[in-house]
Amino acid sequence: MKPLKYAAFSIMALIVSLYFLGDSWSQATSGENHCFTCHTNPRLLIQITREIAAARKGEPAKSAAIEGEG
Amino acid sequence: MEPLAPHEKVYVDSEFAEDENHGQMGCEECHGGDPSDPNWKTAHNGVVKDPSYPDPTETCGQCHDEIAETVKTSLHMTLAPYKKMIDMRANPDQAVRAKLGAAMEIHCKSCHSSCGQCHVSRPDSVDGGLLASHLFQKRPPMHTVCTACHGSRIEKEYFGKNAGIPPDIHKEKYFRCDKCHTGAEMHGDGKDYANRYEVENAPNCVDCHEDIYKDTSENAKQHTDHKDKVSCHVCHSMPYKNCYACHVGKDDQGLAYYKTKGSMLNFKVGLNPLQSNKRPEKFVTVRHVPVDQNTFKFYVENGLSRFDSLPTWKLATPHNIRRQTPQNKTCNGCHGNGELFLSAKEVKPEYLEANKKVVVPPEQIPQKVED
Repeated sequence: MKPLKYAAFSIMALIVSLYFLGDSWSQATSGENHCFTCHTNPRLLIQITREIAAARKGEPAKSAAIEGEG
Repeated sequence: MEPLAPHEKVYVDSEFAEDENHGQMGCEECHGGDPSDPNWKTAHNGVVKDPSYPDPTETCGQCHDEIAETVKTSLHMTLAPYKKMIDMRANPDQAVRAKLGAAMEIHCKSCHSSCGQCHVSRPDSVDGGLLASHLFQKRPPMHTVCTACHGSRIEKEYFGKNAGIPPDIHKEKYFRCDKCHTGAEMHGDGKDYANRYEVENAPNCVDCHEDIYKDTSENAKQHTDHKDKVSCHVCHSMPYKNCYACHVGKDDQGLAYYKTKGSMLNFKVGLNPLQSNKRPEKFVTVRHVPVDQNTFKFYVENGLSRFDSLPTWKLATPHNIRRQTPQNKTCNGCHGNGELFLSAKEVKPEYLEANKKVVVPPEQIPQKVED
């Protein structure tokens, strides 16, 4: 029975691998639009905007000398 | 206006892909960059945040060709009157003018708008951010677009945010800005106007109140008696904001700043400085604009050497119209009421020459009448 189990496991593993490989292959060939993937993902955007904010820490966005209405 | 969190400014609603017009294009077709690059830092190389400014021909113009052509001359895009007004006051010396031009580039030009900064994002001058996660807005929203820029004066007048002054009657009737200021006006007509009051398709009260001068209209006598003598605003505006003494410069860190003195709520009737066939009235409401002889002193001495070429009290169309106002309650609310009229004593002595066209001499104030 052992060889049969091995064969069945191997076939299952092959099917699963082909499934995921096929998925990434189709993504690669269809050319994923990373702009859209990233800009529609709030979690990712929060992470990146925090990264940017950390890199710019200490840089004032506007002059503190501004007075009165614009 | 509620500020947006940094990620909200650039978040795109996945529904945008279903927009059968704009959503069918690749992001890079308008914005550039490399959508195939998974590294966000390098993917953004060459990205154009607002592809509709300064020339929308290659982006919006691919479909909206007629608008893209005329919008290049729209006052929102060009801010041409700013430059023209400063040029009229400017020192004729070319070296001085060059310094003035550089200062205006830093302080004045950032206030422009564009197709994108009305229909897709908040204007850059208020730190931008997508309006509705990149879903295109056919009618730009009032609070996050129009009054985001026109906030100090128009917003406070129209929405009744000046203490003790009610909102504009049109606001109470739920008029949005674009009810009067149509897309056609905003998109320009290809002409290079000297100021917004010349714009041919700018709103005119009689566009809607078309029967106002007919014998059958309500208060027909008052309206026909005053036709072409006073502007609608003289009778129907409430007190509005006047600003003074704007100075611009750069701080120790090289960041641009402006400083204005406190504004004042006031209501002043002056002589019409832009009398024309379109605006034949002798009396109009005038507003003090924040320009000062030393506005650009940080950049150049005596930059505005011809300061007296234009008044500092300018023709104004306040946005707080009411049917009944203190000055139209009775005839003598205005007639003989010297307080309402811009007099020489209310003008800084050094600016009397600049304002001589708008100051109302006492003998020209309409006489008191028997009520």
